[in-house]
Amino acid sequence: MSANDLQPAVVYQAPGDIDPMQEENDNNEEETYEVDIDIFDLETYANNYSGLARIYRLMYIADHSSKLRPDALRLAISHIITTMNTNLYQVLHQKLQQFQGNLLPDVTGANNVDVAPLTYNASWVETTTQKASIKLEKLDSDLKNYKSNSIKESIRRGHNEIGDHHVSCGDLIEATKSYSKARDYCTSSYHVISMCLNIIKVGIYLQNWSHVENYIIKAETTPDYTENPDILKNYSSTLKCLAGLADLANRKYKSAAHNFLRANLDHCNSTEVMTTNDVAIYGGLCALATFNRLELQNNIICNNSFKSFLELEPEIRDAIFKFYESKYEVCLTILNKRKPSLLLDMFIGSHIKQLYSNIRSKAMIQYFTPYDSADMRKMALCFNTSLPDLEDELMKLIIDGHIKARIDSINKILFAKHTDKRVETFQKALCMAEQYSKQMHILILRSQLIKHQTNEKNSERRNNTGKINIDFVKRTG
Amino acid sequence: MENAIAVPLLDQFVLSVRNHSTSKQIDNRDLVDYLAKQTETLQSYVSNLDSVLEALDVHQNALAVLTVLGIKTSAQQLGDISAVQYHTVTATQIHDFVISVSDRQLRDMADLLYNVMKSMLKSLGSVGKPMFAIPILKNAIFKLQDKPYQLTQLHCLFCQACLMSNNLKPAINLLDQNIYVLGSNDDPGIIFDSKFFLHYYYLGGVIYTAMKNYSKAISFFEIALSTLLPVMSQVMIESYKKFVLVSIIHLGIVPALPKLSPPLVERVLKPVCQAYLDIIPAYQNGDPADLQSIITKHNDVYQRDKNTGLVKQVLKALYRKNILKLTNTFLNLSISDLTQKVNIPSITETEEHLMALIEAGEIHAKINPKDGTIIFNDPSKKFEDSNVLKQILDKVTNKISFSNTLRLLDEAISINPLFIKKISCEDEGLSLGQGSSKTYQV
Repeated sequence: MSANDLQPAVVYQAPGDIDPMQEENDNNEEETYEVDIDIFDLETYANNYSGLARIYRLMYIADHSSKLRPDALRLAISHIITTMNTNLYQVLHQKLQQFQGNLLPDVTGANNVDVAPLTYNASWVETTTQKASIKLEKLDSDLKNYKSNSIKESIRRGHNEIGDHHVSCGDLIEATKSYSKARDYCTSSYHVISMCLNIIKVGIYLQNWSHVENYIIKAETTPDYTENPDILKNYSSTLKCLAGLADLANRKYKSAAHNFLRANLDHCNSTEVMTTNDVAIYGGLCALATFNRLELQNNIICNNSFKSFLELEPEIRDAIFKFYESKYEVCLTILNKRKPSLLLDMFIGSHIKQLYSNIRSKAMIQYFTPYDSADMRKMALCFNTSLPDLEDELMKLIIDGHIKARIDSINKILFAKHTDKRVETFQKALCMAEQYSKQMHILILRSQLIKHQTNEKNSERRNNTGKINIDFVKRTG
Repeated sequence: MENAIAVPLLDQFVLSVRNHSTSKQIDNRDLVDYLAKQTETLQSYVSNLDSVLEALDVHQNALAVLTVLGIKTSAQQLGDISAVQYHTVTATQIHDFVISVSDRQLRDMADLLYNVMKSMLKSLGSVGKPMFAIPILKNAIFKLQDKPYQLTQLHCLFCQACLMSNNLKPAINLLDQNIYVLGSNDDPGIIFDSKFFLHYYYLGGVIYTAMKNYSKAISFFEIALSTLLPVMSQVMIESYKKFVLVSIIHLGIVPALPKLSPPLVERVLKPVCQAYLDIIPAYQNGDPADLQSIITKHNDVYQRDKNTGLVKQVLKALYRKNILKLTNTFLNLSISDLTQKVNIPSITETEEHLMALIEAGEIHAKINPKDGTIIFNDPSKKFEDSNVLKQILDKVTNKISFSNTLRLLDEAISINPLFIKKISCEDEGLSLGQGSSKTYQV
C-alpha cells in the first residue's frame, strides 16, 4: 500500500472517526448537556493524560462547556501540533473560529491577543501531511524488508509502528487494522497481550465497545496469562480497568464496579486512557450506585487495595463512608459538589445523571428499611429537598416496586406496607389456572380446525382423482 | 294470467321432487342437482310458492322444502302484501319447519340451513325486525346440537342477530358455553367451514366488549387470532385491532399472542394495524396528553374502522390506571393533589372518575368532601370466606367435566381409521425405539 493511496482515505474517514461525540449522538446513547462550571484547571487536568486521551478529553470538555470551550480547544490544538493529526487540527480550528465568530462582539482586546498565536497554520498542515506520508512510506518499505527476511519479531514491530503512526495521524480504523496484522507474528504471551491492549485502546476511542470487550477476553484467555505471575501482575489491573470502562459504557454499572475494584494501584499506569484517580471515581461511583450494604462493606470498605485508590480521591471516599454510615445528607452534598467536574469526564459524564439518581434512590430505600413508619418532613431535611418533591420521588420508587410502602399525604408520614403472602398466593394460583385452561381451550379448538382442514384436503383430493378419471375417460373415448 | 302458467311448472316440480325422494332416499345428490337447476324457475313464481310448500311433506322432502323457503325469504318482489308482513310470515314458516323436521335431517343440511337463515336475517334486518330471528335461530341451534359444547353453523348468525337488534342478553348464555367441537356432524368428509368459527369468535368478542366483560372478550379475540388458519382474513385483522384496544383498556398491556399462533400472524398483522399499535407506548408512558395527540393523529383510521368508541375508552382507562397506581402508593391524598398527579384537567372530573372506580369496586376508598381528601383502604379481599371456596370448587368441577370431554375427544381420535392407518404405517417404518412417539397428525 503506498502512501498516496492512503492519504485521501484518511481525509475521507476523518469526520466520522475523529469526533467520537458525533458518533455517540448518532447512536442516541448520549444526551447533550451543558455544564456550568467556574473553576476548572484545564492545564493540570490535561497534563494527567497522555496521547489520545489528552486530546479527546479536552475535546469532550469543549463540547460540553461553553465557558471552557475556547481554552480547551486551544489546549487541544497545542497538543495536536505535537502529533501528525492534521485533520483534527483543521476540525478543531474550524470549531474555535466558529465559536469566536459567535462571541466576537463581546470579546475584548485582551482575548484577541490570546487568540493571535493560534491562527490557522496552513504551512504546518502541509508539511505535516507530507511528513506523515513520507514516514508511512518508509515504514511500509521497512516492513517489506522485514517480511522478505521473515524475522517474526521485526515484522510484528513493523506492524505496530505503522499502527502507532496511524494513531498519531488520527486514523484509528487503519491503526486497528495494522495492530491486528501483528497478531500472526506474536511469539510470546507478552506480545499477544500488548497487541490486545493496543487494539483495545484504539477501540475505546472509536467507541467500539463490543470490540473492546472481545479483545479483553482474548487477552485474559492468553495461555500464559493466569500461570505466569509476572504477566498477571503487570497486566491484570489495566485489563480490569479497561473491562470496567467497557461495562460502564454499556451501562452495566455493577459489573463495571466489580472490575474497577479488582485493580491494583501499583500496576495501574495507563495514562493513555485513564488515571488512577479516574479509576477511584469510576469504581467508587458505580459501586455506590449498585452495591447493597453488605457488598459495600466487603468490597470497598474492607478492600485494602482499592483503599489506596480512594485515598487519591478523598471526596469520593468520604461520600462512600458517609453513605455507609447512613449520613445521606453529607454524602449527597459531597457528590453534588463534585458533579460539574465529573460531568466533564468523557467516560462517566453521560452516566452521571443515571448513577446519581440510582444513588439517591438507594439512599432513600436504605433510609426507610428499618422503619415501619417514617416522618417525611425529617426525611426531606435529610435528603435536602422540599416535601412535594420528596413525595414525588417516593411515589416513583413505590410505583417501581423499590419501596414497599404507602404515603399518608395529609399527615406526611410514610408507612411500610406488609404484603399478605397468602392472598398473593391465592391470586397467583387462580391466575395460573385461568391461563392454563385458556391455553388448553385454544389447543383443542386448534386441533378441531386442523381436523376439518385435513378433511377439506381429503375431499379435494377425492375430487381431483375424480377429475383425472373423467379426463382419462374422455381421452380414451 | 300468471297463475295459469305458473301452476303446471310448479306441479311438475312437486312431482319430480316426490319421485326423487321415493326412489333414492340414501343418495340425494341428484336431488341437489335438480334443485339447483330449478332455482330460477322457483324464483320467478315467488308468490305461488306457498302452494308448493303445502304439497310437499316436511319429513319426506325436507331438502326441497328448505330450498323453497330459502327462495321465499330472499325474494325481492313481493306482490301486494307489505314487506314486514311477508318476511315475518316467511320467518314463521322457517321456524315451523325447523321445529317439525327431525334433528338428523337438519344436521345433514346444516350448510343450506345457514344460507337460508342468513338471507332470512338479512330480510328481517331490512324491515327492521332482526329481533324476530333470535328465537328461531336459538331453536335451530338447539336442534342442530348434539352436545352443548358443539359449535354450529348458526352460532355466528345468532350473534349477528343479537348485535343487529341491540339485544345482547340472549347471546351471553350461548357465548358462556365453551366450545370444544366444531360442527355437530361427525361423518368423515363433512367439512365445518372455518369462516363460521372465525365469525363466531369475532362477533362473540364484540358482544363481550359491548357488555364490558373484557377478559372474556380478550380470550375470544385471542382464539380468533391464534387458532391456525392458512389464509389471513379481514376478520382476523379486525379482531387484532379490537384485541389491542380491549387489552389496553382491561389489562393496560397487550399480551403477546399465545405461543401456538404462527409467528406469521403478528408479522402480517402489525404493519396493517400501526395506528392501533401506536397507542400502546403512549398509554404506557402514562401521559394523557401524549395519548390524546396520538388519538387525534389517527382519528380518521379509527373512524373508518368504527372503533372510535373503544379508543375513547382507552383514554378513560388511562386515567383509571393512573389513579389505581396512586391507590397503591398513598394512604390518603387531597383531591387537588391527585388531579395534578394524574394530569386530569379539572377536579370535578377527578371526582367523577373516583366515584366510578369506587362504585365498580376497583378501588376501596372514601371521599371526604369537607377537606377535599380521599382515603384509600386496603382491599378487603382475603380469600377466606366460603364464597371463595365455592368459586374454586365450581372451577374444579368445571375442569373435571372438561377433562371428560377431552378424554372423549382423545378416544374419537384414537379410533379414527385414518389415524390408525397412519400410526400403523409409522410403526412399520420405524425402528423399535421410536415407535412410541405417536403423533396426532392425521
